[in-house]
Amino acid sequence: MSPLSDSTSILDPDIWQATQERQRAMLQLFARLGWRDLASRRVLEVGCGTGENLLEFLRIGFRPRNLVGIESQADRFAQAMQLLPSGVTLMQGDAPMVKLPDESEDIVYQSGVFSALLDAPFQWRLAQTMWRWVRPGGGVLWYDFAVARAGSPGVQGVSVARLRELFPQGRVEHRRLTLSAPIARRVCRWHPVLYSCLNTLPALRTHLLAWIEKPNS
Amino acid sequence: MPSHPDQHPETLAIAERYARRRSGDLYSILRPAVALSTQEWQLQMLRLFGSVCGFDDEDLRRMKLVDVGCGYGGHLLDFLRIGFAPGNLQGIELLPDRAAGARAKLPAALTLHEGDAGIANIAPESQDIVFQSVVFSSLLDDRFQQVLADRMWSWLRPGGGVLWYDFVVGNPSNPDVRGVPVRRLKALFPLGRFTIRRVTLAPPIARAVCRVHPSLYHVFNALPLLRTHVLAWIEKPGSMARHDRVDGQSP
Repeated sequence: MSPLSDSTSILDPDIWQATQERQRAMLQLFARLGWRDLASRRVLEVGCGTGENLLEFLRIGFRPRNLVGIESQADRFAQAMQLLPSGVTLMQGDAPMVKLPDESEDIVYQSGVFSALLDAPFQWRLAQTMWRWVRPGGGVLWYDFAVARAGSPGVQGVSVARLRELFPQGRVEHRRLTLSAPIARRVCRWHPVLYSCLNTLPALRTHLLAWIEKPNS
Repeated sequence: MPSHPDQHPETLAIAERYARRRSGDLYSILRPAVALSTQEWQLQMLRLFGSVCGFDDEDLRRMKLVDVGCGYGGHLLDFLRIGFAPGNLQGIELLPDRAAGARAKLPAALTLHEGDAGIANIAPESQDIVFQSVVFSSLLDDRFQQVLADRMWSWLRPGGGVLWYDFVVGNPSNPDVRGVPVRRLKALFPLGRFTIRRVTLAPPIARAVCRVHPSLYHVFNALPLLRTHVLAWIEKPGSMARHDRVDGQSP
């Protein structure tokens, strides 16, 4: 599930700039981790939606057989099945119910799932499940609202403090990304370059990109 | 590669030239210069689709596109990512290892043709977009270039267009490629209506400045003279407007 994909179009300048900003931040992270050969790395996405994020992982060099997506909603799962190659493993269901080997993944990714989970005990269960799947030296890759989404009572921000509660054994590094959508939409009507100008102000960014590393020991 | 009695000598030469390429991780997307140049032309393509072509999400879902020389399928993944339907996309790839790589990365509903563009069974005037990225700069035979351009043009429906991304200047250190200047591009598609954007900071400059700081890519790229590629939309004139096709109605 992408927090940016509902009722928006990739053809809108604010959306493609936010998308590219996130993609750059993830590439910078992988480069900093020294992961030169992405083809050998395994990724599991919790709440993969229609498969757009898994397409992005394929695009930057991950192999289909090293990708797994879990999606609970039947219509999204069906779309992901159409969109992704057969080498990608897709599973339908709630992630905590899915059986996968412990410590098998380099990256367990979630984008916009936790901000849509308003039930704290379920958040905790899901975080524990995700953590179990991460191999030591790997991590949880996290992109989600850090602040509540204006006009969306079904979406709550997940702060860094809450992130640390959810993954108490993780080493958390994080950065704020993504110019607030209402502001971005408005300023990009004037000129797309205003996205980058206003986005230099961290207070106007609504999302967290976090890498929560599982220590080797 | 499979040989075929009808295969043009240029297709064999292309395979040999590609086999000589040893890029290492020079083109790794993890390099800031590569990531930024990739994002730059993707962004320009989206702008072109939105502002010049007037496409919307529904158009992207319905349009048919063929990628000539699709390589390992990276651009087809981009088109899927922005909303094209797998069943409306096709790729053509000459080199077997690249075609196999593309097959593994792309959904089953997407059709891939292995071989040169002459073998692809694509109906005349069936495509909304015919895409090529750095194929023509690797074709050193002028007549072969024209044959391929004519074939690509024949696949386009009136109102559709060739989407083109390629070098306009040659690489002095690589005799296996040569730039395709805008003048030559216009000669290849004499009936086309052209929208041209100069893009992509010269790769040696991009690599050098990104070592200092990635934001310098944009600073240097502000100078059009330092850009080495063009992104072009070459529209095939015709009476059938886009929404006539989409809606199946007359204006």
